[in-house]
Amino acid sequence: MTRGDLEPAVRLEDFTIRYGSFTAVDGAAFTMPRGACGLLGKNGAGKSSILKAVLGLIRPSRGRARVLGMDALGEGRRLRDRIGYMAEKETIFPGLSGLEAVILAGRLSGLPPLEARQRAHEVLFLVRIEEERYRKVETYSAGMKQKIKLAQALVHDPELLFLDEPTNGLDPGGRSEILDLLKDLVRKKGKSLILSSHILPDVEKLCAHVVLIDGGKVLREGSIAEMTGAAGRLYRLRLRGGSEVEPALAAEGWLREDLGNGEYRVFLPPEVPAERLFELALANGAQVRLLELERKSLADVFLDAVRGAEVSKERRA
Amino acid sequence: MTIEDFGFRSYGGPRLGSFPRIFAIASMDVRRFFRRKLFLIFFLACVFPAIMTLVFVYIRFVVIEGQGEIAGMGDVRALRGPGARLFANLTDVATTFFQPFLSFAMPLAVAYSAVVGAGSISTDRRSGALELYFTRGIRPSHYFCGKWAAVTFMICCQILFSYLAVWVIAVFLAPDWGFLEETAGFVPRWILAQGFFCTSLGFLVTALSGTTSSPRFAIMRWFGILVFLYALTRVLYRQLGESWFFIFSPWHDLRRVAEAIAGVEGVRGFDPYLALLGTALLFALGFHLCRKSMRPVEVVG
Repeated sequence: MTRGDLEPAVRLEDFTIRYGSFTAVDGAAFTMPRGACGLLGKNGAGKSSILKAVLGLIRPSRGRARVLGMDALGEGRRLRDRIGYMAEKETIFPGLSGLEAVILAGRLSGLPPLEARQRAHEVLFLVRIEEERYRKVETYSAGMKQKIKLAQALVHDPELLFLDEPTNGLDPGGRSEILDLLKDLVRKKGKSLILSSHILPDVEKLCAHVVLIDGGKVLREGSIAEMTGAAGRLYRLRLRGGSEVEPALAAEGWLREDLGNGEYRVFLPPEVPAERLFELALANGAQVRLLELERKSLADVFLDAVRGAEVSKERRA
Repeated sequence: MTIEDFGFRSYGGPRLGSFPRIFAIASMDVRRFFRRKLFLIFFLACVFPAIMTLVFVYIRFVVIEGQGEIAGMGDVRALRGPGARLFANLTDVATTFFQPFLSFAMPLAVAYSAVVGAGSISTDRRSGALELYFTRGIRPSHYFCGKWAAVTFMICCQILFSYLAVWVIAVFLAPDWGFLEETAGFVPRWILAQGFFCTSLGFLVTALSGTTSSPRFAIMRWFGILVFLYALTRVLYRQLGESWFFIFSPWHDLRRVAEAIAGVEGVRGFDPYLALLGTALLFALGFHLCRKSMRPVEVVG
């Protein structure tokens, strides 16, 4: 294991990109750990600019980007040999068969010709393109083109995959296959991936960590479990009887929200077990009718973050 | 579907340097062209001057000299009967080989280069392939060199390799080694001249191809620039009698420099150094177009 292996997948520090007078990314600073990470943002949020920075193709106006422990700008070419990139839009090598396209992708990443051919066959089996590999890519369906793009991104055995909407155009079966494959790559082969997608259930299924951006600024970053409340701190509690429970909850100093009809949303600190709620209810003569972990969806988190940013912007204005 | 089912392997071997990657781009491009039937037909049409030269060589060395009717080159003029006119001008080897090249193969090469070169980068731009190239471990200059090498190779197939093949056949068809001795001094210069012409033509058409995403538009631009500047400089030459106007015509520049390298008398007294200057200006313009039109930042993401 080298020192680079211990570095996070991506680290941006005070990263600003300007196109003339327009600021595409404004002082972004985040760390994406190894493993599967999501990059979420609306159109024009600055995802593409961040992508260009990650690929070492863009010079920031300020700040720096480190990818896999390497300086993205100074070592861009060497870095791109270690990154697999799958574009969102249709990108094909014209006039080539699926097999030739994947071989060329491998050779462009420095694989020797024989190795590129062998690995191309292997990754095409992996993404389930079989006899069709000898057909020209132009004749493929949208789903098959997605698979070819994934095969091209994988052929040179990259450490980090950057996937832009990888399940676009796939039927539910194909989508599930690709997500399972990506999950296996992360868990069993130790690959890292950054997933940029509007399909939030895909991100939730695959990623442990997300970065939310809007208007060129990072709104939130962290683990999905923490953001959605799945870490075990947010509970929905329904009680019957026991009017003294409310003051008791207040006395404990826990954040809570009265939802009416004896229902509460309670934030428990990490060190407090959920059993404490039962004890409190019992002590105050109340009956616990419901106690469940309350999870927000990633979509809720994203929309809340965007709304929050808009509100604070209005206040500043 | 799990990884174990198909055996995804890690790769711990070496990564090759820039040259094999450039070669991969070029070889894939050449392969893509040569398996298109329409292109093969067009290619055969464009190597017709070489095929005709081969026919002349065969008639001269096998039919005429084989029958003992003629002993040497000078005697060609003394021929009577069918074929006499054909061979009347073949007084020296340089003319024999370079004249068909100048008169037919070079003009044909312009049309041929448009077909093989105009779509070279523009097709990639249209299909989004530039994004695939630039997100790999290559520089835009590597990509351009690969494309340029492919186009140059294909032009060479038409006017260099085909003629070289004819020359090799002629050497072995000749009744003795006289033909080889006679041409040994000229052929290297001739190869150099054709090599220069192919490389320059390849560069210009590839650079122009990068400026648009439509191959048809690139062809129109290529012919438009060549034909317009050719016609304009000829008109200026006729009106004012100054040959230096040809510096503005890419066709005249490339052809004059090739002629000078091959040691063939140039047309209309156009100074080869001026032609060289014109070629250098064309290259500078080509570099500028490439830098402007192929920035990774514009095509990725």
